[in-house]
Amino acid sequence: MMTQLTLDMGEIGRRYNVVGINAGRGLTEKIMEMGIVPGTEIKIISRFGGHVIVMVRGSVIALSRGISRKILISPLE
Amino acid sequence: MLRGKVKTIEINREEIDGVIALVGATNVGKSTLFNVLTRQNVKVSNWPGTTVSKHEGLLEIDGEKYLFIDLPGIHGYYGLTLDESISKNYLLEGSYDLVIVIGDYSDLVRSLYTVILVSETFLKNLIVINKSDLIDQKSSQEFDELISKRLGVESISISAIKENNIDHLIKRIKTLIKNKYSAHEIYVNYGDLEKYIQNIIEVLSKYSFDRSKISLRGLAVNFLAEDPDIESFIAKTVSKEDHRKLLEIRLTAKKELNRDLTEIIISSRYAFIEDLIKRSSVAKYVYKETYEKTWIDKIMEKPMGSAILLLGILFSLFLLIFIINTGFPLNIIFSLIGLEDIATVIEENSLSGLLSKAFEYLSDYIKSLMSSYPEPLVGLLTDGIIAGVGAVIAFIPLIYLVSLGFAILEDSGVATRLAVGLHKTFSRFGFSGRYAYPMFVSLGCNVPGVMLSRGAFDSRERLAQILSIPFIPCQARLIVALAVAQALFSGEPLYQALLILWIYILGIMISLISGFIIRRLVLKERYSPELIIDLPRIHRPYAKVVGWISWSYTKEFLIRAGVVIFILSIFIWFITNFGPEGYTTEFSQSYGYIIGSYVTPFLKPFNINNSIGPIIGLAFLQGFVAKEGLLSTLTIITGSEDPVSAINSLQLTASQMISILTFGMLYVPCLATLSVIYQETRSWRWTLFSIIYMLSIAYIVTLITYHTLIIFMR
Repeated sequence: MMTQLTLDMGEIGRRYNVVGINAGRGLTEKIMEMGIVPGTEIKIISRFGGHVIVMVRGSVIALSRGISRKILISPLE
Repeated sequence: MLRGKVKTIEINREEIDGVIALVGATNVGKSTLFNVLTRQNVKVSNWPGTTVSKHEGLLEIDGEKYLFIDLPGIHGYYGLTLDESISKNYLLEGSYDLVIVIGDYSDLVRSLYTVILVSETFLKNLIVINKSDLIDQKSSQEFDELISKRLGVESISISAIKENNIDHLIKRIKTLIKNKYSAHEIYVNYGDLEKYIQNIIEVLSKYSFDRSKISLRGLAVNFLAEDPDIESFIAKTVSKEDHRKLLEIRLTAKKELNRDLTEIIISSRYAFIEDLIKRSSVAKYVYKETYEKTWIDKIMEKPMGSAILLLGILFSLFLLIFIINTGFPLNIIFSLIGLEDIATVIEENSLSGLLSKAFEYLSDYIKSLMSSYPEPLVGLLTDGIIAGVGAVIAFIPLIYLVSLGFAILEDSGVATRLAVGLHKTFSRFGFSGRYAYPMFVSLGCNVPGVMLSRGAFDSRERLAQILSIPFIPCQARLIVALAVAQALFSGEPLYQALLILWIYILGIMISLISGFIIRRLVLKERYSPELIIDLPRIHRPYAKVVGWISWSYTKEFLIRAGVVIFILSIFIWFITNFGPEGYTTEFSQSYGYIIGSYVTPFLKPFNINNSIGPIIGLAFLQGFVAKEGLLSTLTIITGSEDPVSAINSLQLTASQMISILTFGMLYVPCLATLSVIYQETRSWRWTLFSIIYMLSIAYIVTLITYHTLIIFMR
């Protein structure tokens, strides 16, 4: 089975695949509309003050810790 | 640069050759394009029943008139913000000839998501992709052709800021409107959902939707996605029975597919967009291997980095604004080093100093001109009306400067980074980093601050913001605090500065704590709001854009607060100059005195003399109208020369004075802010709550302050 982790645990500079989003109704849609849908490739570019900064589909997005904990990812490569 | 002029344009719909709506996500440069097209020939009003401002602009070319409407930003369909709802409903009503849907090469995939979202449902659309200066011309031309071919919608790449290709755009707008153009329906493949989409279209096709403007396929997809505005639009048109049928189709889809329908819809749209981009040479600009960190990103990654950056920016901006506006703290620094004369000059020649001088002069001049007229009439004109206009105008430079500072932060992309940097601290108090925007603007004026709460994540965060913003000391309150500081510590500039600093720390801390009170105790939410936010590229702000943003904030202030301040200044003049016996120049004979004396019992715990109770009471009542009015009322009713001697004439102890100042800083939102609170919450309950809430907190804090102070001072 593929290893799964939450986005806040990912390594800086690595690429991951979004596997699932476990937020409530409303928030899940919001995250997906930002381009983070299951199956998307996501790259972690920085992390500070509890935030994860990711690059998705050419956009840079900041997510607070609470949100990044709700996004399941698995490493690519 | 900064060509700001309020022009009222009369728009007569019959003379208009075409109405064009502009839509797009935030940050795509929608307002820039709007301003470039209309050359500031703009009318600002409100969308009916809201405080969201509606910008309409006229383009006159070759004897033809085109009306452009700048629709509020659409971020996606599930944000459910007021802005999005307004835009969607405008488009659904269909009183336009063309919709320009704007994308952006600096954030292509995301901005095209909004483009697809709109063009999928609304057929009279022309796609415009902005910021073409970021990529080579060949690629942008090729991309336009690709979109036209694969989507069946005409696409034009432009650069609004560099004004590239604008003439061509205008030419096409004219031609498309003349030809009564409608684009083809966009066909995004929704896979498993297609079957249900067809079933819905079948039901809808019985009804007479305007098929030249609205795509049934678009309606069907958004119905499956449970978009509330589209749902109510459909419910209004179809019969009850068919509505039930539609709901059944959606339910069956959910059961049979056993998946979140919106997930299918959103991922299909993204897949469609990425497929499109990957077929073109713009892909090399979109998918970069690395993200080049700017110096701001690097600072923010350091521990404490964002805090230091934020404080640095805020401090320098406010120092600048304060100096220009009030002379503070330069005046204090100069008198500290013994250069009293220079300090006075700076103070009197600050912008607000000059403006109030001008109005004083004007009112004296009119008084001398009209000396033969009856006294009440002259008084109404000079102390009521002219003073009222003066109060509004004195605020313009201040509001403009704060807006300018904010516009620079916003346009450069620094503001979003500050929101991210502050999130952790703010979330301890029940706010997200988004509170940074309204908080920052509120230091200038609470009115636009309350309006900026629209950026909040949901209605609960928004309510907490709205109720906490009025604790932030605005510039009007700074003026009051400065006068008290001067009266209390005359000749001791260091203490003056410390008192001002304390006022700011207190206001900001209480505003943050208020977030905790509202979110945890009133709304009973256990968790702080989260933050998910786009980080736009950092770039040098464009003077043009910054000028437009700041001028539009200033105009909003003028429209909203200006009228209220003006009317109430006149009202206050009446109650201080009329009493049960008619016109009077004696304050103790006026209605104002009677109203003010109701406050006296509340001043008991501060050992304040009964005779000055009504004066303080009325001053606070006037402060409710506009905070700086506290001073003018005190000056008038004590018959003093200036505010500082008015304060001194009350003969209060230092502890009493600081306590009263503390109360004055926190006690109620001013009327202009209150009217915006009502417009934004649409609830008398919360508006009333806001007054009682602030009064109680202010009273408690003041009691604590007083009883702490009398331990140390007299």
